[in-house]
Amino acid sequence: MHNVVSDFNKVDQPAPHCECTLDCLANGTKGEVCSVTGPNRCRLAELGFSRGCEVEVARKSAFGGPIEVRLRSYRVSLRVEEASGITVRAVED
Amino acid sequence: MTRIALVGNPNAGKTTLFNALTGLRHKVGNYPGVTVEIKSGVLRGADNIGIEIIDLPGVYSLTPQSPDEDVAIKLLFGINEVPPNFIVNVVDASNLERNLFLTTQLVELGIPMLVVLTMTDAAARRGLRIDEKRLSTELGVPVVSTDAPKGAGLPTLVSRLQSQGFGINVSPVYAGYSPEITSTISEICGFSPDISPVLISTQLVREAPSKWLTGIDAELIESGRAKLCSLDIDPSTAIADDRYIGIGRISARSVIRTTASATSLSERIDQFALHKVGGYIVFLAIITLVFQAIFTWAQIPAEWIKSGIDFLGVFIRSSMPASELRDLLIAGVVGGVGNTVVFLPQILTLLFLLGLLEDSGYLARGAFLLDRFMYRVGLHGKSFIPMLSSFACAVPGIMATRTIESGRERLVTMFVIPLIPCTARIPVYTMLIAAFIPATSKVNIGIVSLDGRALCMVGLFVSGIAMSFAVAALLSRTAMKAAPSTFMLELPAYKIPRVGRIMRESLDQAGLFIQRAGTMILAISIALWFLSSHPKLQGKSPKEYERTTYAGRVGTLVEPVLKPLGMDWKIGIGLLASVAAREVFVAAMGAIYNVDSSEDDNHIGIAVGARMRAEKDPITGKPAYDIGTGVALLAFFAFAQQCMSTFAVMRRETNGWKWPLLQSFSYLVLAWVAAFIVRTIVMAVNA
Repeated sequence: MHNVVSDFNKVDQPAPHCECTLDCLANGTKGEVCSVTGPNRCRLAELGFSRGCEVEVARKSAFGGPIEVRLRSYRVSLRVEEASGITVRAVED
Repeated sequence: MTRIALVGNPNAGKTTLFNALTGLRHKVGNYPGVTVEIKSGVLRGADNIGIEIIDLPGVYSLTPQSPDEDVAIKLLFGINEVPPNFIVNVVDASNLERNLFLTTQLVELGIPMLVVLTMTDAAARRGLRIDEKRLSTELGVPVVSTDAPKGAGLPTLVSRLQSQGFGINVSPVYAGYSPEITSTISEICGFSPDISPVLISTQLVREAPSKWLTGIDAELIESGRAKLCSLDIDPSTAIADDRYIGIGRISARSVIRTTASATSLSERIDQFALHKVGGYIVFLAIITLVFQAIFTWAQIPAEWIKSGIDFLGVFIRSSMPASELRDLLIAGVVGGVGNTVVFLPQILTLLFLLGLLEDSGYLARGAFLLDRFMYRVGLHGKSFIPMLSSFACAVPGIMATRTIESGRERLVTMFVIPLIPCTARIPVYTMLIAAFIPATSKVNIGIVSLDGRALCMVGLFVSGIAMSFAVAALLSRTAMKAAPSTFMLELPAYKIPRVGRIMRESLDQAGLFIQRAGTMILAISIALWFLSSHPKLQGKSPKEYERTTYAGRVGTLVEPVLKPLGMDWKIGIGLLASVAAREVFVAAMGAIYNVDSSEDDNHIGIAVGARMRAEKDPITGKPAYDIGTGVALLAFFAFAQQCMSTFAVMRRETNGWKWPLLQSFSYLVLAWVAAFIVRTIVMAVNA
């Protein structure tokens, strides 16, 4: 019998120190997701922005337009409004 | 009949696989409720008549967030629907973890399933090789790889489907949630035995349960959600967090990491195509090219068609004795239907070029580049795609809004689409401009002298586009004000567009357009012919008689509203007829004036225009219409929602009469006001 998800439990771990939101990361820098808030957090979480996931800002567009983010071996573009609901802890490469 | 559902994330290669499995012999079926087209077909191979394959709209999870997803997910849960017998889950190997989010939910459905890995070559380029056997062990269901475009792995898959080589994972995955979530789910299960754990977990994450859940189940889920929130757990993210922990484990065990090749070609193209400055230059160049193709190059075959139609008119005239039937044939059939066929090259060109841009992956880049501007007026980056196709026709445009997840932005987009200058307006614009704007008119700006007619056409296009943005901005600041919604856009890898397929699809769509417009024009021409010649003349002078015909009475009825615009009851009839479709206007005016009997010119557009110019006021004997009437009509056609098909598709897509009625009424008022203002200005300048 293979239990896909084990009894791994992260709830009791202390929240890591989160100093900024995803839209504040500079182009090409990486971060680790701490929390996702906002009206679209459900879809964002489904898309892979889950706690502890490593994300990288791949492209910031002109005029404050969408931000392209690399995560889980794919890329997705978010608006600044959405990205600002994702708190991250900057990760050194 | 055995039904197999193809399920997967958007862009996972579902449709390619579907086409390969069914050999393109599919039919498109409309599903009740919100209309979402679900393609179904029969599995290839003569001995398998009994296996039906259905291609469901792409979903990211079993939690619906858009109308498309709602239909697919309801079908999978068997809500008001028989669930499929088997599921084929299409998984993009190059994007394994996110795809597995849906896969692990599907496994919990308990329907026998099979995972098909696609795009393994793209995964290999990213340094990811997937151990199918291991993945199959982890998921508890069979896994096979295919490369549908090249046909590799297809025979294995087909024989699997034939022998029903699917699997069920009997161990419930939800057991891996945190204790609070697990207990909430099992509590709800205890109260309502007909609701499955996976349905609970996918509904708990929503702010409010889906409307299709029964009352008691919805209440149970709401109280479960409230309970979790009181424990300081946000189900909207916590449930996904837990699932991703499991996925991370599956992925770590079944993915073999190799060295990734250097930056992919797509990324290198994007460094240019999405460049902060260069990207917009490329975009403008492409859009200019598209419009250049429609309005210059497509004109060449359009001219050929025009001469063919004119020839046909001459032929009928010379080979038939003068009769009402001959008039009907020339003005109604040749003139009316021919006038629509003339626009076939433009429609085809636009559909084909849009198909190329979409298939190559560029349209998604356009959405990326334009999102900020669209957002300012309350639209979505993705609104740009339906709006672009609305230059051909609003109907496919409105249907294309289905890809916009946010209901509000989708509604605003659908609402403003009828203002985009579609091809149906062009015959009307062409006729009215030729009739009312003098060929010699010039507008001088400094040393530049612009052709008045060309400027008028450009002005009509620009005002249509500008008005659509203005209305969008107004709506999203007033009636449809809401918090900014989701913007999640995936930029697919660039690929060489499949020219043959796009050609076939554009031909199909253009054929439908012609068919619809043709039959409608024909029917309305015949009806108008009858209505404007009955009841029969009885001892009245022709002038009195005209107004006592059925059409005349209706026209007289609307005349007071049109008088301020410089229009009379005859134009009133034309406008009423064009409520069905704008392009009907030309043929309708032809029918009202009985064009053929009075004119020698064979081209109906010009004949109708000339006839309108020659129309005399029966009392004063002066021309009935002036340039003010012409520009008022043009402005009216720019903004009025005169299209039955658009009305019908709006009703279908919004699932009610409210929006189509509101749209038609508000644009009618807008069109009238615009026509009045333009007429007043032109009359003042010309005085």
